[in-house]
Amino acid sequence: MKKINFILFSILILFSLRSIHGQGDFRPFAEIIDEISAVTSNPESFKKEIFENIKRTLNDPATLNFVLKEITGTGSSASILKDLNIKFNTFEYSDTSSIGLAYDFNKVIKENTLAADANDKTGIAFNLSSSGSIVLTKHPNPFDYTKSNLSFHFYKSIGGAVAITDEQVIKKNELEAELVEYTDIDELNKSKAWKEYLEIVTSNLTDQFYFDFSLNAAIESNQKFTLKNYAYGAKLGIDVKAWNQESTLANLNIFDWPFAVVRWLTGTEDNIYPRGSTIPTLLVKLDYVDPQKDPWRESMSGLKMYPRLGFEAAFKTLAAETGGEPVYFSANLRYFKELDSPAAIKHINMDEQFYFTFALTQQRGLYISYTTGKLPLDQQTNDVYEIGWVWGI
Amino acid sequence: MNNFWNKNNLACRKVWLYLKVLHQHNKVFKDTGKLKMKDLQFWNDLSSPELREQQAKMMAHQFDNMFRSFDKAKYEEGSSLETAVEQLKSILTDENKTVADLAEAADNNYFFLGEDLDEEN
Repeated sequence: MKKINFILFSILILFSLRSIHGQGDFRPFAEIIDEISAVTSNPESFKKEIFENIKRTLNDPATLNFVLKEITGTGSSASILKDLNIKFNTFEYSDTSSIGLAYDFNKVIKENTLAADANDKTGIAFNLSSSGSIVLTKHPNPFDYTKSNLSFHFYKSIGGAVAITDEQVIKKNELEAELVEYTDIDELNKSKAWKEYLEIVTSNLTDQFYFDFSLNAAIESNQKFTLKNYAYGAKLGIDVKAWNQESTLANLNIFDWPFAVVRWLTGTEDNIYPRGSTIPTLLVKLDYVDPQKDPWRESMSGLKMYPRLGFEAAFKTLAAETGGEPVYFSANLRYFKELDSPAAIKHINMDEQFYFTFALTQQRGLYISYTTGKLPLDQQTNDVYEIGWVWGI
Repeated sequence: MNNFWNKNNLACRKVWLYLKVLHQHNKVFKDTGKLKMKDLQFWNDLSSPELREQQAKMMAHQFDNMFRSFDKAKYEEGSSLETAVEQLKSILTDENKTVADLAEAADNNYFFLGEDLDEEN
């Protein structure tokens, strides 16, 4: 099977190169397969396996992502596309799966710094962004919410680190030169150099507070544009991180306590240390929504503008380390509430949407996730389970 | 992997160690350059892109804090706080960019104390 995969991969590469560069006469792909299969003991079985492999490979998001990276990673288009991230995904349903595409574009149009001290920065910026996901089949999109947004930001970052002396900088550089030579992580973590390095660095790390207030004008829709809203509003993003393990704030991170216990029980850490680097990130939004296309809402209450409160929180932490590889727990919660909504909307519980998802993942290994709830343009709750295996490609 | 990853380069060393100190990974130097952003602790695949953008911007500011406070780093000619943070952020928001790419962006934007010596080693 591995041999066939290798032959298949070689054929695909040759096929791609000839197609891209247009060099020489192009021979039909089937003709090449015929010639190769003729020298095998069972040509028909060989051909069948080859074509099944091709089908499987071409339907694999990893192949599509590889091709996409090759296309967008080189040439003059790279500069145009550098702010655009595209990723092919597999969406799993209870009875089937489907190929989809997630995209994310973000461009800072103009940014100015108002205060630029190392640990106290303030700035303003104009941003253009767009994100969403598309299912490339007839299956319903479980994440059917796309949004394009023009925004004006006022942000502030306070704290994070305090200046060290020149002598400490020199000492730190010497320790860095020593630490870089280690090839075993356990030896490094137990070394005197690492303890000295931590003493200099972590004792000068402080809590960091990041705020981003923005005014936004957005267009949101589903994949087919059968539902469309304009939304105008304000957003406040809050991110607090207690980088120093000794920080009071780190110890108050109740979300990480259960995982700190798991890390200790699994021998990942030698004591119970809640991480201040995993304090959840928050986003609060207040939008005035102007429905443009929404037949269902129109029939219920007309296309009147309405205020909508939105909230998102995200959390990710290390659950354990197995074989030197991290196992992460991630969670995301989103809540939308239509304020002052008509009785008809309230009656059928469409005035609020709750969306929750969590996952337990390894870089290379097991992947378990569960998603429930709906986003503002969804009309039914989706439960999507994913259990899979991640290969390090 | 990006060929930039080199133990004699100060930006690579600092990016490796600062990410480790900030609990983003637990790897030795030689195994870190190839790590992708999605492999680091801050990257949450389940978040909305706007939330990830916010987290990445905070991380970029923290790198700027650490380079300037712990390494007395100055901005390279043609760079500035806005440019440096934006370039770090654009790496931090791309799940497939590597730690080596992040170190290269740091090296392009910051001049570290002692940097002229490390280039000769």
